[in-house]
Amino acid sequence: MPDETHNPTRRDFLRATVRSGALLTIGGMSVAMFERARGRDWVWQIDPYKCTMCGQCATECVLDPSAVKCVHTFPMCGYCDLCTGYFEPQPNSLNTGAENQLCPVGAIKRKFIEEPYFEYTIDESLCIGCAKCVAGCTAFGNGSLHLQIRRDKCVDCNDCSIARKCPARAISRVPADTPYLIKDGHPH
Amino acid sequence: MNSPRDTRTTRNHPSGPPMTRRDFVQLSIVGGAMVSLGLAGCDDEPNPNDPSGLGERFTYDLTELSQVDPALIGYQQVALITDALFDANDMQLGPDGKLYVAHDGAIVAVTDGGNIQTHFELDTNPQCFAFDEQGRCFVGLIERVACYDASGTRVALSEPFAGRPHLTSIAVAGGHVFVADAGNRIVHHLDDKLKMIGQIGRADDGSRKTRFVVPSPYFDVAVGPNDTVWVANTGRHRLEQFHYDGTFLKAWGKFSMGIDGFCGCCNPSHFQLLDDGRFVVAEKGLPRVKVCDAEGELLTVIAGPDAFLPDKQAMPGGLSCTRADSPIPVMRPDGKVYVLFPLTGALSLFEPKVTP
Repeated sequence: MPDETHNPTRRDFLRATVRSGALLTIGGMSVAMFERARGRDWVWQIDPYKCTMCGQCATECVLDPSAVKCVHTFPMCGYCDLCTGYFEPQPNSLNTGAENQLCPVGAIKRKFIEEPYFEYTIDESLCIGCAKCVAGCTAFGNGSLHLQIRRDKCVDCNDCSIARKCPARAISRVPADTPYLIKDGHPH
Repeated sequence: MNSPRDTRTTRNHPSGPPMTRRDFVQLSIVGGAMVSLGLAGCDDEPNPNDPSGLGERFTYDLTELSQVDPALIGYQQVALITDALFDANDMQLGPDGKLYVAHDGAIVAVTDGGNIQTHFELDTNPQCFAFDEQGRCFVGLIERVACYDASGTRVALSEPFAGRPHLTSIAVAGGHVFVADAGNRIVHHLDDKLKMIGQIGRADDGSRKTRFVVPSPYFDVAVGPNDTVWVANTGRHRLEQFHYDGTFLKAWGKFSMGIDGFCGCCNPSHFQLLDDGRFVVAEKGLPRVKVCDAEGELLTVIAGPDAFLPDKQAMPGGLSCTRADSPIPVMRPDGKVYVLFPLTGALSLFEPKVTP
């Protein structure tokens, strides 16, 4: 009667290890080849928690205007009447007069919701990605305005010219199926 | 009838009086001057210090606004006690005279020498806390309040507040507990068993609206004399006084980027009501700590942005931080002031300047 308790020898163990390693290698290579075969699987994106709002996104992108746009994380927004991302630091008055606005191209739209709350939305066709509003919102408010590379604009340069110049190294490649890094409301 | 000169120098015009050569020259000069002026006004060369390529007028620079007249600064930093209190949420003097800080899942005691000792630990990160006369510690835990005795044993726990609670400040006196809830923009009034008594700040029309405008999670409350509480209505840039029953009494404060007001979208971020009626107030954005009298008039400045952000040129706008954070001030009975800046974790001690 055969012995039911099987004590593996050192040779068995080595054989199993080599076999497992080979399988893992083959599996990994298959996944990598599959990902590569899918084509564009990594895209450039800005980490909003690293961004220092230097303004180079507006000028360093190969596109004009830049593929970098301001986006608004509404759950983080305070819907302020005196929005420091919309208004100059010392506005003459809290209205939509151009002289009061921080955005150089008037790309932020201010809409009354209910006293005393206002909603701010970005007109991306105007936004040049200069980050003035981001600096204002971050300096005083909750930082709900931040920059992102818009996937419908970006031409996916192999060597992103903004990433090359970014002083905070805030731009890196992210998986194409999760192409945006939106703020979650928690300090990082 | 035209003069001989007119007939010599003009053409007949069917719809108006004829133009003389002199008129034409005058108009040309005026028009040219206007165009030149207009072009001069548009001549906005890119600012070499602004990588966005925009002109001077679009440069976002808070450097000048962050300056405080040195003559107004009546305090000086005498010690950096510790820089290990990064992201601390609150700071209070205990009934034993020690300094306590809500930091990293615990209430810790900090000595002037920088020694940090755990007073008691909590399951969740404490957002705010306050001691009562008996030495009990009431701690805000985002959604509810817990009460701990002097040994650190929990003796009471409130029900979670409804809505979207985010507790940011607690004030306790005479068996009354006031809890500032930035998420719901309301001040809850509890007894010392943590049972709800009422709320302060509900709109008079009975709707879900509240009178407090709280755009960011800074919403402070302090107990005043004669059954009153003071609340920071940050979005309106003022401090408001209420009776315990919620009746509005008075307010002071205004928006100003200058030192005489409250800057940015929403300030004051923290305040302390002193026994003599003065206020120690703190602002975020331009981190400043100052002392105001009972009517809100500026008395002196304890610390300006330079004290917290020495490397101000490091960032666009002249700030050196990537998020707005507020100093937390606590004035001792002897007039010295502890100031904690959670963004850097620095706890400093300020003393009044000695005038010769």
